[in-house]
Amino acid sequence: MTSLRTGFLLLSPLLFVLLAAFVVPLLLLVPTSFQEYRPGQGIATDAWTAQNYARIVADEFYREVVLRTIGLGAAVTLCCLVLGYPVAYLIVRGDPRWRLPLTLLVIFPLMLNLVVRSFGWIVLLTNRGVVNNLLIDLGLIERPLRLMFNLTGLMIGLTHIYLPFMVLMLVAALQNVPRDVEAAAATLGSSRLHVFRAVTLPLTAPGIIAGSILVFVLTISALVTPRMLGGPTYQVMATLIYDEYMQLLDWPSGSALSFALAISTILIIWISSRMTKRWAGLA
Amino acid sequence: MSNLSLRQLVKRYGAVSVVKNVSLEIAEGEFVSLLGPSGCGKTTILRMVAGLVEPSDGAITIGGRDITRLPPNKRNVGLVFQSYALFPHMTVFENVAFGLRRKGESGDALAARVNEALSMVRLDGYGERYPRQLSGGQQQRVAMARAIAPRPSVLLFDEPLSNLDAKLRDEMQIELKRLQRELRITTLFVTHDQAEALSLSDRVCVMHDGVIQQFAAPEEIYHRPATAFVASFIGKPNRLAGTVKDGAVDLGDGLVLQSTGAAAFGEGTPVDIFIRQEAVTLSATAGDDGTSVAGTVVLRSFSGAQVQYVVRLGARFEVVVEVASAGEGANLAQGDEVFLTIRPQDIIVIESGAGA
Repeated sequence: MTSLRTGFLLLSPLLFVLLAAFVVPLLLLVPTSFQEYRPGQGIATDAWTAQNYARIVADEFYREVVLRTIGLGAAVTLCCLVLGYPVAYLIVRGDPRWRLPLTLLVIFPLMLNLVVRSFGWIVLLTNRGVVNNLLIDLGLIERPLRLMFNLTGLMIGLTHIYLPFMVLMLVAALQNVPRDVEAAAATLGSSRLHVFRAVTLPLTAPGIIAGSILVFVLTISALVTPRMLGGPTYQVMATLIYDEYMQLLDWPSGSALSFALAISTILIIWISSRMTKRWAGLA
Repeated sequence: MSNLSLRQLVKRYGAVSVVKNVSLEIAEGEFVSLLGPSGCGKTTILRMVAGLVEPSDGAITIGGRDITRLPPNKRNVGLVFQSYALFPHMTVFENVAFGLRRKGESGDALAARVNEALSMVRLDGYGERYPRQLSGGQQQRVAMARAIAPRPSVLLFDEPLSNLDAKLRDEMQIELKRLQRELRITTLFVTHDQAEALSLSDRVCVMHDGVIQQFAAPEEIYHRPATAFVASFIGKPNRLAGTVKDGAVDLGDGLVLQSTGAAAFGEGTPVDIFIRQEAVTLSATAGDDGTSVAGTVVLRSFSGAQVQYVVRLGARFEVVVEVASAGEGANLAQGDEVFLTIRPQDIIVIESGAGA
């Protein structure tokens, strides 16, 4: 058992880096977010205003981007969960010989650069991309489908990129479900489907929560993929914040958006994990 | 009618046979233990009865109904696991209600039967707790209540007491026996603990290496073991090798032990004899019927109710002897000369090379 002092010493390098490179700059942005940006002059330091925050809710453009981002996060999380659970189940419960190849297959995309993976999707999804050309050649459609610069493109790209995280979390959770508990349910008259619904699924709730939080947070803060697959017009929070800072130099607005995103994320995670815990009987 | 019958049951994993042609008939309401060292196939048999392991060959019937290929949920058996295997996300009430709900019970009838099962295992009022809030013994009781609540035709126990400490294990043994006698449910109990098997069961099935060694009443198993394996596995026997001579067993070095079992073997047959530690009496003088042999105390160890001695016989043999610490021969010292008296019927004689 390490003492409190030893523990603190072990943590201190990381704490220092986080403090200097993350917490302090973040706190410095708090006052900025309450200041006003005057085009041509810069940030006005003489007056305080809550206008940057009010605009997020009041302005239709901002509101749409916020809702779109959260909706995208929820949808990508759900997709990853639905697609990832069977894979994780196969990895844990399938033939042990397939465990390693399947796991490698799942994490293989992580070895490729994010930009490369996103470019890959552009090649597949553009108007004259592989998917559309194939569908037209097969005579299934007459004009190319819009698969990019909209929700479809972002969903496809982000689900693909974050699926491995979900699968790895679910694999860990499924490995922790004792086979005896499932067997007990079976001897008590549960069909395989009921065993899954009444025992396996609730017992993997911690993994579902952890995986969902991870994918949700990664999705709503993703910048590269939405920029590449969404283009300059189909904005999400991360691309909007980037534009506010780097294109418009409107730091106050960018800061306010950042904090709004962070706070709403924390709230959503807190509420959803409480709900899941209650459903799984862990609360 | 819920007698359980296993016919020529075989389980192979690849080239390895874990259960080899096991046949067993268990009467209705009977309590049968499968006893054997780990890896003898007893748990595999239990899991085949529960439907969790598929037999490679053979048949299992309950009350005449062939269940060999039925999934576990269609078998109406209750299984109590070594690990308890309670549903951690459900209350005690919901755990016990699980099987009843699967049978379509609900409302007041369900609550009544759950409470009945809980009171059978003396856990009245624990319904609202979660398994993690209970002690190991209480969790084991919940597991039992959960298994008996749907009134299964066969109850299966997979080493249910081995995770409990010694004192609790004794208590649970008594509870379990009482419960089974009350309910008269046909029971198959897997254990590696011989005391548990002997004290609980109507009949004990001793297994070794996937094969039944002996299937008989506890007294029979203890006093008249059928094979060398059973003789050496049950009790704490001393094993000595000798040859049959004039209806007695000659151990060499002039040591001859009278044994009623020796008459069954021909003159000069090499045999193994098994002498239980507690079947020996120690005395300062030799008995007059020729059943005593002389020895020297090598070691004495006191363990409360019993005293154990290591006694040297002749030049080649050492036997362990256990006597009551209040009785005769309890106060011998190292180096003392003693006479060991063993009743001729207490010496188990088995031909050498028969079994393990």
